[in-house]
Amino acid sequence: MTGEKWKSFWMGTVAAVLVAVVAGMVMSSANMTAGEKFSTSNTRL
Amino acid sequence: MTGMKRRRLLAGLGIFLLAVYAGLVGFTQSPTLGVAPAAAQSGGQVPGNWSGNTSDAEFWRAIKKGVKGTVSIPDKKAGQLVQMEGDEFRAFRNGKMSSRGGDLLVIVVIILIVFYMFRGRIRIEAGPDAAGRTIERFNALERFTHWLTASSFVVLALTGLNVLYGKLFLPALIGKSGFATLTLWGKMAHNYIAWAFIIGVIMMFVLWVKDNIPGKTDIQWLAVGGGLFKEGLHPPAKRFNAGQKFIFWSVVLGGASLSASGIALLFPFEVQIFADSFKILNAFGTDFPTVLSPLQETQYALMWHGVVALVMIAIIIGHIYIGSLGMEGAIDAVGDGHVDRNWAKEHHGMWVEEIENEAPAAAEQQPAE
Repeated sequence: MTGEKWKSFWMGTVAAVLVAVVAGMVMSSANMTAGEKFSTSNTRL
Repeated sequence: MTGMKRRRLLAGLGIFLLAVYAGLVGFTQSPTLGVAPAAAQSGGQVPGNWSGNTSDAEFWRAIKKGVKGTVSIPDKKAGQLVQMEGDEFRAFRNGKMSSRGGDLLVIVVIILIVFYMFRGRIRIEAGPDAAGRTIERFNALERFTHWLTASSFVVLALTGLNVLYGKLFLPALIGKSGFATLTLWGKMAHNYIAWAFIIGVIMMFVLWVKDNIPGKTDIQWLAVGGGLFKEGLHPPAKRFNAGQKFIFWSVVLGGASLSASGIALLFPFEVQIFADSFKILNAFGTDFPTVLSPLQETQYALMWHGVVALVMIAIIIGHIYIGSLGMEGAIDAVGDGHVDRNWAKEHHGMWVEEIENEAPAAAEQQPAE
């Protein structure tokens, strides 16, 4: 593909990466890690 | 010591020992102070009655079958020590699903190689338009949507295949530490780029559903195999032929299914979709279990996600082939969005007629000077 033809490919791919980064940030801040969730501090009565 | 004093000493000692014995009997609730003579088990009753009326063998048999006890910690799932269905899940996941899924992918690749050997690349029979005229097939938003979804799918497919098959050969190639690092990052990429895939599938559905409704033209197209197997054969097709409609609905329905099971796996024990889905299916006469433990829900999600993913990968391998190597001129549609006019007339003749009837000037686009 020529340069112009690659444009939509790169835009779509970069957008996918950006969505993934944002999703990662949101999910990491919203949920506890497995280590935190199953630590004894979270399983006490 | 005189005899009288000796007798008093012994009597006091005896009273003391009696008092100690009485206290111990009260403490152990047993005249033998909890020490029972050896006795054989009879009729399922264990001597001493320490575990109620259940023998050890019965006790562990029940645990193996998945009996749930009570626990004092907040995670009540810990009350089930052994989940028997897990053995069946593991056998399916590591057995039939892995082996047949792998076979499917290999078979698809072999079929495509054989098809290419016999048919070769499907060329534009009339040759590229002599004047270089093109028709806009997909606009910028459509192309962006395609690549958003496609790029996401490729990453998801590769990282997902690594989860299923990577451990079989990658450690030997890149070492155990390398494989662990690759899989850790790959699984994170899988979890997060899934959201881009979901957005892409939704956008695709909105943009293209109206052009992907099956119709009579598709039956004619399918009847001659889409012209794929014979040169000079160009069955009528509108904007999307039956093969492309199959791809569209596979991506939309398969993608939605992968998204639902994937979200259930991203939030295990919280998002549980199979019990309710089985209830709906059972209304049509099936007999699926409708009461599932959280662990069973996750196992069903894993199995379903894996099976649908393998089928989708097989389908998309075919799509990638025909859109690139398999057919001259096809990639331009999602490249700069403009396809050769002769290509369009040969493969989507009815669509070209519709466009030319609506806007003759817009249908023919001369190349830039």
